[in-house]
Amino acid sequence: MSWSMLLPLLVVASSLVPGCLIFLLREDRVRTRSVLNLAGAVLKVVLVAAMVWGVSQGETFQLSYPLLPGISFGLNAAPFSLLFVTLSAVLWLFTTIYAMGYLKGSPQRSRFFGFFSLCVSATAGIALAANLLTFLIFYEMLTLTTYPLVVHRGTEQALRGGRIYLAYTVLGGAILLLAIAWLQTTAGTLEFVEGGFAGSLAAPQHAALRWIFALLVVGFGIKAALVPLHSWLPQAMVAPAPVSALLHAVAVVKAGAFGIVRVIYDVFGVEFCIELGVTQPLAIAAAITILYGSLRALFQDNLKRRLAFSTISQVSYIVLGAAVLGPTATIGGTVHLVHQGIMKITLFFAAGNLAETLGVQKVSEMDGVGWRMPGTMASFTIAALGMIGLPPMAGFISKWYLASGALEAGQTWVVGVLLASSALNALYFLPILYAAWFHPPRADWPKSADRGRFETRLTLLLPPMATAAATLLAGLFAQLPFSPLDWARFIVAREYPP
Amino acid sequence: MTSVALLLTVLVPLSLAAAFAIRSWRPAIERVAAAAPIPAVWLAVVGGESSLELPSVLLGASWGLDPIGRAFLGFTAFSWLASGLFAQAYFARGSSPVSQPSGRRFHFFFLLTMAGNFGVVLAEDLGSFLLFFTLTSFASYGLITHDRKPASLHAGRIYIVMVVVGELLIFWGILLAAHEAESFRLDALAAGVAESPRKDWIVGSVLAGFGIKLGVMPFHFWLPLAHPAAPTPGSAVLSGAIIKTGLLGWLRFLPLGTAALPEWGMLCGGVGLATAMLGVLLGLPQRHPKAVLAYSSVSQMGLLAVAIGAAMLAPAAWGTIATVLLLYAAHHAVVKTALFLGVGVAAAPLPHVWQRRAVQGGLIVAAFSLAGLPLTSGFVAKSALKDAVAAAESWQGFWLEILPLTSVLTALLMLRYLGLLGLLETPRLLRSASDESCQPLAEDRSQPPSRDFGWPRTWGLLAPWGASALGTVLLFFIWRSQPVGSSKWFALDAVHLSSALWPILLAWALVIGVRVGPPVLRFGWLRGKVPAGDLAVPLATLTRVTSRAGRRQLLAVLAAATASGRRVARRVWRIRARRPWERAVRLLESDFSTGLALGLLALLLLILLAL
Repeated sequence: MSWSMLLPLLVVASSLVPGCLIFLLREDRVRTRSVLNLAGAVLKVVLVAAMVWGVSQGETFQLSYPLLPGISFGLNAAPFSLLFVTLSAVLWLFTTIYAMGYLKGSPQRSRFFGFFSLCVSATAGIALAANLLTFLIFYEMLTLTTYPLVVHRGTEQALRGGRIYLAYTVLGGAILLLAIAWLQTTAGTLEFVEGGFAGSLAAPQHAALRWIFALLVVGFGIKAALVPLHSWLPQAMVAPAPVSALLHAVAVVKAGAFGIVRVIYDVFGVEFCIELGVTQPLAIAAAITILYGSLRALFQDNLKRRLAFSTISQVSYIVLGAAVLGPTATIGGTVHLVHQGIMKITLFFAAGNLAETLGVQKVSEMDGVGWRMPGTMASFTIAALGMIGLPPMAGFISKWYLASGALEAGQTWVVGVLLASSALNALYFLPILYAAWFHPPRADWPKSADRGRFETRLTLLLPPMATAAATLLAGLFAQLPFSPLDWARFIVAREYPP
Repeated sequence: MTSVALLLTVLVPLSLAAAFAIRSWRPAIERVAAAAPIPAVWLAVVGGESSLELPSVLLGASWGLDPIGRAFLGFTAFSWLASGLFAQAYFARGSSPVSQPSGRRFHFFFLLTMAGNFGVVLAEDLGSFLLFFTLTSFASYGLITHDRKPASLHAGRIYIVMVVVGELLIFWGILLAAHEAESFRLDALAAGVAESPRKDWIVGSVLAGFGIKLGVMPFHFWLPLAHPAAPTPGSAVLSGAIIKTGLLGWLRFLPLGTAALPEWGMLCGGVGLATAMLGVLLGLPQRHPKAVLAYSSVSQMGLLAVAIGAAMLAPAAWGTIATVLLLYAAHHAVVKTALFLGVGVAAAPLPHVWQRRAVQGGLIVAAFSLAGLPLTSGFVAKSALKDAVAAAESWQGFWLEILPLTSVLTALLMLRYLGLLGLLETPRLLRSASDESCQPLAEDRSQPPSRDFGWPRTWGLLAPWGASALGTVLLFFIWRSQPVGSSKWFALDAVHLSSALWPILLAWALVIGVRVGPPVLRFGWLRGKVPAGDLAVPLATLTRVTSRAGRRQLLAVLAAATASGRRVARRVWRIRARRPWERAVRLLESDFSTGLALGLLALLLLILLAL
């Protein structure tokens, strides 16, 4: 077996193996568990970096095991897969460090970190999947491994949130299975191909293909929280902060959006999508989701709930970018996959810090919190301004490319949606920043945890600061080689051959 | 060398602001903050045309200094330098209500806004322009809400809403422009926009988006709320430097000189003229000197909009009009800095009478410079503006005749400002202002002279203010020696002099007439009735009308309005106690400033006869 076949497998295994080992550990083996966790996370980042370097040099990394005739289990490090796997590997490293600080002293940590690692393996598998079946396998694995994390606290509310989550995502998986089976019988293949494979099918099958497209979008749309399939996401905010970060930024929601984009580009193909006329309805659904999520976020007092509705809105930017059709909009959507990830994870880290250190969970309790936790709130501020789309933060780059891509594709209404969403983002983020920095600090916080020398534990403080810095740098130095934007351009150049 | 200076101009204030993160450095940074504009000053004075490519930044950044940028950098840096030096003394008061942490907070936002302001001027591509424009807008929020008082926070709220609306309009306009021009470079935009089928969309959103920053009606209402709310050095940069970024936006993104846009030109000119007039009329009843100045800024920016309108009507004359705009902007920046800092200087307990006299004289000259006083920058700016308006053929009749009226109005507004500062009458100078509601800012309330007010602080306030007050006179001579624009603008002959002087004299006569005449002419009943930020108040109310309490409030306001209307009618017929001629004599006796002004005019005429 050569390196080029081994590397994708190792990327998946680098978190799978530590995950399984952690399950075997006794609860009090904190150091061994931390070493395993960190070693896995760092190894994964290194392996991914090696693959990124290789692919940029024109190498290919793929492997394939035939399962049944015409169906195989395959991994393939396509550029778009690498973008997602890089995002999840890097953010997983930060989330692991954060989770170790966050869960310090709480029970059931072996269970937590075990599933946590499995969850990331599943995400890596989704990212690297070479065909829809492999995708589905890892997709289901993701569903099953995130459930224990969502209900980790075991409270009534957590169990309820978990039940709703499971109901939605299992249903999504079933719809997906149906669609994939139908596609297999119709097209005879499931392999992702740049430019899509469905376009070669004859005209009589187009009606069936339209149905398959709709089913695939619904199946993925549940995880991507497309309105009206979004209700599980705000319910799942009862999970601990690192899990929310995982749900919103690293794995679950992203996996859905990633799936939709792959369906458009690598299953159906851009030109064939236009021929079928399926992208316009999808763009409209994404636009509705963007506006609806932002509108609902306005009225949430619970900080994590507000962030959850904000995710619903922001993730649909990715879908919108793919559905608008055109290289520039696709760059915008693709790069937003990364940008939304680093911005939203910063926000959730910060929200977790507030809850863990001061017991602050509501926006109305945040008066003057900036002066009590300056590092956390500075990170929150950078990410929130990025969400609004202000330069030089990463969100500006996404918004600029999405909007100019929409103009390029002649879909001016999309720009209106983006502007309205930006205005709403400003409306629900700026009051938070105002309360945090410009109100006098409260005298008593609901809770005061031990904090050591800094505003909170270093393991809690550093991850948000690092991702906030990434938010700033990804926007400010967007044109550097290997920046998210540069990689998105590289991907799109292959999807839209000149 | 110049490319290093380009970087330093932005990075010095930016990194000083960033260094505020380290607690123990803060006192030191506060002390050196005033020096942050030095690279900008150096660049504006020495640097020729230069540029710096930063291809990996944002959408591919490029910074540079073109002639427009250089002019902007000059007056912007001046305003920041003077205000920064002023702030050192302003915030150094031992026992005053302005405390140390307050000064820290001020300097942080001051430096951040400064970095943004310089950056906007240097930006030669869309990404950098948007970045620095946004930075300026958002960082100014900290200047406006500096004292955290309810009024300032209210001003800040309305300001930030307008900022976001402006950002959205600008984003939309610039996005379209970049799409049509297929370039991110500012110099390539105008050509692309000029030929675009979506020209009207672009021009409309750019006009409105940057119009908000300039305070052009009907987007002006945030400005009279925000500018007075900031501490004095903050107000000075807000009005002196920051609002001009709106003008810069127009200059950078409108297809001026390449395409004729007659409809937009008429609209821009009409709105500008209305802004110039209404700004004064709304400013006259204000009771806070800074609010008066803010309305004066609104009115002056209206005149700039008129010139932009002329440029749209007559693209061939763009070369001249660009010079006019730059002269006018520079003139306004220097004078407004002097006038805003003057609010603080006039209130300070300066120990010597001669210092107070100098403040009085300097402020009078600066104030009338805004109305076109000869031998000041305003004289040049006003004659230049006349040429700009005359360039539009369809405006040559009515518009040229109505232009001097704006000077009369400006002079009236400036008299109101001087009156509020207590500079028009000698006795007022020596006692503290009795009407506390006049001057809500504690630090700007005039204090009796005090020997304890040491010389470092006296001169710390006087020197930067004096430099900007003198600046208006110096600018005249500098421009004349340079030859900037047409030599006609500097002509000190009888025709030009009389046309510059009569609006000021008329305004003065009007004020004296009003004081001597029946009290109804003084519009005393109107004073304070027009709240600062006029339109913002009904807008804020409108959102409240939907509630039941809001409706009740509205009815109460209506009832009060009818009652006060009846009171006014009664007052018109009330017989006056004192006879008019007695008042006139008293006024001439007591009114130091009248004497001073007459003396100045006499001196001026003597000089001119000698020349």
